[in-house]
Amino acid sequence: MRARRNSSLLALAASLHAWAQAPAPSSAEPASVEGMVTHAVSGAPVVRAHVLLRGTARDAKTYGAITTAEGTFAISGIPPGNYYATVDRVGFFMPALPGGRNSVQLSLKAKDKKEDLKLQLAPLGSISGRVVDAKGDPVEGATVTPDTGQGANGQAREVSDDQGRFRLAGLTPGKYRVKAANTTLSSLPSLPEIRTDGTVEVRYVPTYYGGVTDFKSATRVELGTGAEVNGIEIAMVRLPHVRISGRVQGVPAETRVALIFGQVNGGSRSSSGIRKDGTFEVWDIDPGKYVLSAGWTAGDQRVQTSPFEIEIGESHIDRLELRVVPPSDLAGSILFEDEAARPPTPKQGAQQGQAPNMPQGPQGPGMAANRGPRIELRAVDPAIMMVQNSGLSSDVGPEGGFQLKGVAAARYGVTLTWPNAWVKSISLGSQTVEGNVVNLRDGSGGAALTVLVSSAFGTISGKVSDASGPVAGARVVLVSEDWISTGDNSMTVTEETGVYKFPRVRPGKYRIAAIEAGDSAPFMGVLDDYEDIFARVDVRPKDQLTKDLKRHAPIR
Amino acid sequence: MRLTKLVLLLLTPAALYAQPALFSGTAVNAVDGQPLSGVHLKLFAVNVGGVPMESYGALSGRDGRFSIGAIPAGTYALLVEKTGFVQMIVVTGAIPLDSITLKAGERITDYKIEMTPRATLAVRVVDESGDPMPGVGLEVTPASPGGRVAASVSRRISPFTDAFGEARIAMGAGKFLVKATRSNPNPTQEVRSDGSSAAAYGPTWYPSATSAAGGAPVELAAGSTRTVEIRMAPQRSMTIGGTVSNAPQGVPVRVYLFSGDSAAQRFNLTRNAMARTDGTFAFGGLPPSYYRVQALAAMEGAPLQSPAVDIGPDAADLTNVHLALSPGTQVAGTLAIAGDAPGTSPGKPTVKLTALATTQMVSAPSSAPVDAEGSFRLSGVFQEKYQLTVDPLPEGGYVKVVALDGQEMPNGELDFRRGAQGTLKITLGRDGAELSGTVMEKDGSPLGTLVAIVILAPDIDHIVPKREGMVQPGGKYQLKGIRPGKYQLFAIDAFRSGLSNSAEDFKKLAVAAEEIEIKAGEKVVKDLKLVLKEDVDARTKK
Repeated sequence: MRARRNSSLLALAASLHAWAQAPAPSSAEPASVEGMVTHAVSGAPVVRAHVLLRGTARDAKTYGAITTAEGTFAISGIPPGNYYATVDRVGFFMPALPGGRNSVQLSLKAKDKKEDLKLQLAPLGSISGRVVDAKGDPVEGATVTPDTGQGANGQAREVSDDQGRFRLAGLTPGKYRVKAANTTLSSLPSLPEIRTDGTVEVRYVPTYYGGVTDFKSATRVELGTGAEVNGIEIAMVRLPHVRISGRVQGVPAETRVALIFGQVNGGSRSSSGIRKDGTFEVWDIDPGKYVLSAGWTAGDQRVQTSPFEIEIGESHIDRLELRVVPPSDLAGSILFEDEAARPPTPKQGAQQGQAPNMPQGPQGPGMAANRGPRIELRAVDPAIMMVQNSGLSSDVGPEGGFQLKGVAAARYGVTLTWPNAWVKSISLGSQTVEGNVVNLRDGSGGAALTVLVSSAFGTISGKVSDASGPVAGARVVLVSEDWISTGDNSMTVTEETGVYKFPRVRPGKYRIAAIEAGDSAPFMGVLDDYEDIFARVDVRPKDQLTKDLKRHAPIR
Repeated sequence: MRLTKLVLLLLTPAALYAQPALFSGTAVNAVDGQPLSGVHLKLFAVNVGGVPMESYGALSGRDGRFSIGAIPAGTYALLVEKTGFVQMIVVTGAIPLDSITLKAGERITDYKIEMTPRATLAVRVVDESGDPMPGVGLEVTPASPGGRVAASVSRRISPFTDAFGEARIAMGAGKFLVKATRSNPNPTQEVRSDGSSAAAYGPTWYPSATSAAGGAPVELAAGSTRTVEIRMAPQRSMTIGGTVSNAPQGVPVRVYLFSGDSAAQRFNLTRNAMARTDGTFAFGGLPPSYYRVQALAAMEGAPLQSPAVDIGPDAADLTNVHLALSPGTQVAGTLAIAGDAPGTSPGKPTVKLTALATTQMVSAPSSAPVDAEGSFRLSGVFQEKYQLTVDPLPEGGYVKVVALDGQEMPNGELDFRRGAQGTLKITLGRDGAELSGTVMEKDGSPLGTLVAIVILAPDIDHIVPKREGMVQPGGKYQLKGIRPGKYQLFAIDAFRSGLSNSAEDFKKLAVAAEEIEIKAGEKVVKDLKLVLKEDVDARTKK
């Protein structure tokens, strides 16, 4: 899931990239930088703040300083070049700068003496409250986290004490969904307790502030800069014990099987509760929608059962049958609706959407710089995504032919590596489905895959403004209405004039909104916070839509 | 090591074959001895792999009485909880929980569970200037040996200070040492020209001591809250830098830094960084420790690697470590099975060399198939210490002799640190011995817990299990394909055998081992008693 978000943020990274790569003039005369760090709210100087200048050139060094009692700092002996300046101090954060940037960019020439670098720090806030049970009694040992839809948010995480109290410290301003999960002894993965004393084991499920168990319905806590919000009481929801049981077919003897409960909204839970006869019984999975799949390793092959959708609530789900659908070898072809949808003939080093400046693993940089056009399949079944990290891809031949081998049974999103075309429809044999998702949960049945692609994108542009006029550096997200299936979203940032543009939009239905800087929920398809300002757009081929957008006043 | 991981894995019903037992008794407040109602007890068996564990629960009544009937015999972890109370225990194993062993048909009616009113230890961690430090790991241990701490399933997930440098820890009454460890020293290396310096902080015991001996105990009264401030102790820091040579043009080189607890013992990957374009590298702000540096260049198909360079904790700053990359060498050899006629095909095993020390974490082992004539050729062999293994082995088979240029290499360990060359001759034996038996409790009854392993090790320096077997229901264990020889043999479990986190821990446990000589082809039946922490403590004191 994180990858989806990152891909949207890459646009921003790429725009900074050109600047970062500007060659450093080679001169021996060093430069110096002086300046001051002030409190973003009070304007007072901040003492013992840590200022960093990070060189952007390869092998460039990083220079640091600590502010004095007057909030000033001085760094000398800096080789000329481009630098990012940041500041940090415990209990503070550096507010985003105009344009959404998180650092000040400096170009230092030989002998430059910059004396007025102004940096700001804003105080972090906290959310405090209590966790209680159905009777209002304190719950000790519940883990409380701010949930942004992408799992935990940084270090803020606390276990409630014997009064049920918690404090989540170190939060930047924003709207938070606060979640409490019972992590005490009773939450060990186990079958419900066998009791002979007539008492009943109580089950509490992870609960959001607002007394609900799902992310979308949670009440959001608004936190201003450096604010301390108190009195957030989370009443844990009590549910009956719930059993999920069934059988996994075709498991070889002596094989360890993992059951994967993949969640559409991110998280997943894995359980190895499979008996020797292939039956399983799992208890007390948190309520919600899941895609269930069992997986194991046979030789060096990873085998998974065909993904199965279940919704876990308050009743047992029994007699599930999980079966293996053999992987498919797909022969396919791409049909070009128009000539302009064809991949550009490879020139020197086609950019395949390669992220610039990405850190490289120990295996060295990607060797794929000069690859030709490719078609990629990315599993959109979350249970499958868990085990099959890398997607599948194939070269596309000059006539549009491709071959995909060993495609596990699942639903896939189909994407192209050349930017001038989008996937309009996909046919598996004689079945045609609009859009870029192909359902291979039952395998391909030997049928060929035909992918119709088009160059007729739409565009969306407009201006973002708030109460005081156009907003520069505002983030605009475009989220597909079919987000759950496709995970499609894009992000752009407004120019100085408040204008944004999505130049290539795959036709379809979308919601579009100007969002707050630190908000990641939209990248999970959740635009609830923007119900009053988002717009719905239906983009048809070659449409050139204009949508002016309003932005909320930022939380201060 | 292993046993702690097992806890996180899944868990299963223990022995299902015997007459059930009864577990009942009274929960009391440890301070006033009065009965305590509403205490939740949970007994669960622990196992690796299998289906989710069956668990047994009870809630104490007004008179503090609790009762669980019809539990199968076995050893169970005991968890107890009540809001506002903790259970203080003496930790005797890898799992910081009490355990209960129930025999078939046993009726326990007077088990006493003492609950202590929770005390809260509020800790604030600050740096030299008094600024709060977030993300510092905290560990609370009894101030004297044999002291008690609060039982917890999550104790190993030690608390960290929050964004304001604070943490609150649930404890009971007692005297404790509080240790603060900065978990993630800032790896940014920065140049400072304003006279300030980035302080390095080592583990610090309350209030500001660099060793447990210098730490002051914190005394907590039952039901109280006490706030303490730990001022982190600055520590000398080291810089390790140098140059990588022989890097091909345009190929990125990564330098890996490992740290270890003692010379040439277990090393962990601590940091890694790309070498600069001129081949230089530097790691700064390192706390004093044993270090090992090594460079790798990931060339497709043929990686380059440098020999590892070891650096002791007393070294001054180093700027001249030289790491020369090389493509590794080829080592060829033959494999035969003792007693088989010459020319008999050994099947299709693979010979594998796995680096013994550190490189296994960053580079793949070297492996090669054995052909029909019994020949193999390993490539990409570096100046390393390796463990040689053959897989698959014939039924009951074992690696009998590994010889390099005619010289036998004990335990299949190959020391190529002075150069990887020579001809290997591997001889497999088909007449491996078999060892089986029952692991027993102190009183001679079969072991009830399933989180137990039997360890068979050739000698005290190879205690980290070379051969180990999980204990099966009924305390049964079995090891096959054992090379004839003298061994140390012992069994441990996760609750009662003390810690088994490091090579040193295993050496300690081995004082209770039995020496056993196993001859070729033998089927030895050997019953063993579980090693208990108290036995180890008693023996190590003498």
